[in-house]
Amino acid sequence: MLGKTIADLEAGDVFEPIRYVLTEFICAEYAHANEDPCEWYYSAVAPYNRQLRPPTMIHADKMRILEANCTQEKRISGQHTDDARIHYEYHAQHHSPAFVGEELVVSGRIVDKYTRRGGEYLHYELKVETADGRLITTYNDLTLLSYKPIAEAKKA
Amino acid sequence: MSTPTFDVGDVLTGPTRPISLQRAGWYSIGIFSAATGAPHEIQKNIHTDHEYARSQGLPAAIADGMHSTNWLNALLSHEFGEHYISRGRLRTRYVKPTLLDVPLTPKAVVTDRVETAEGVRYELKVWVEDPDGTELTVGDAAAVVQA
Repeated sequence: MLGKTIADLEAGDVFEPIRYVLTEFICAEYAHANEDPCEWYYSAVAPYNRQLRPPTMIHADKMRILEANCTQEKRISGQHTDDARIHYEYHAQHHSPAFVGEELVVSGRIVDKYTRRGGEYLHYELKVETADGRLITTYNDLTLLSYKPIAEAKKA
Repeated sequence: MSTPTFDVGDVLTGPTRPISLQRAGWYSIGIFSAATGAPHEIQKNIHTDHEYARSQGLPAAIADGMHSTNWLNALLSHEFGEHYISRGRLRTRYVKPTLLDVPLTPKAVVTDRVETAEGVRYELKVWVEDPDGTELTVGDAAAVVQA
């Protein structure tokens, strides 16, 4: 476990990797959540005759790794802090598709933590690979740790 | 799927849709279900609950930025297919809060086309705009198309 909460994470922190098996349900549920019509995420009527992982599912992987690495902020489980986290930047490079049935390993670190215009930002770098080492996605993410300071600054 | 071909300046446009409270709920269910591997209920957060969003200093519930990212991702997947999913790139920045029920249109324009050893590499500017043409989410993307 790295930080008590997401706000306690610091530049240089390295996440304990997580592993999970990609299922039909996971891919279809994520694609369905944003009404993606691409059949490849719902069935094996797809390239290589295998159901694919939506590449944007790195967002779910980010939630998984935070859940495993923060002891007092487990958002999937409904354990929140007083501050909502505001996603600011998504940046994913796709290296290869991931297929249902594969075991995925998600690793990453905190690249930077800084204050800009009254807001505190966290820069994540994550990587998704198959258990046998094929690179799937590399990802950079900027998250604003709280919207409140900006709102309060505007009122002042 | 035939090999996609585009010229610099080509504009790609996805469907115009608002992110309603119901759609925000669908994303909440989907992201948490995908992150656990089991069906999950809607979570109360800044995307699904106006009162909670106001407690966080926001004017009302706002759309999850990933909703816009996913609609851009769907546009690029539709146009470039496996070439984007296997070798693509997408960067989005949520530069303005996106309030619920505002009709949103995902768009992309081809900004560069380069022949490389891997294939034809397309660079694109991407954005999601409201009915006034205001860009709420901005970014860039790429896809390498192999013959």
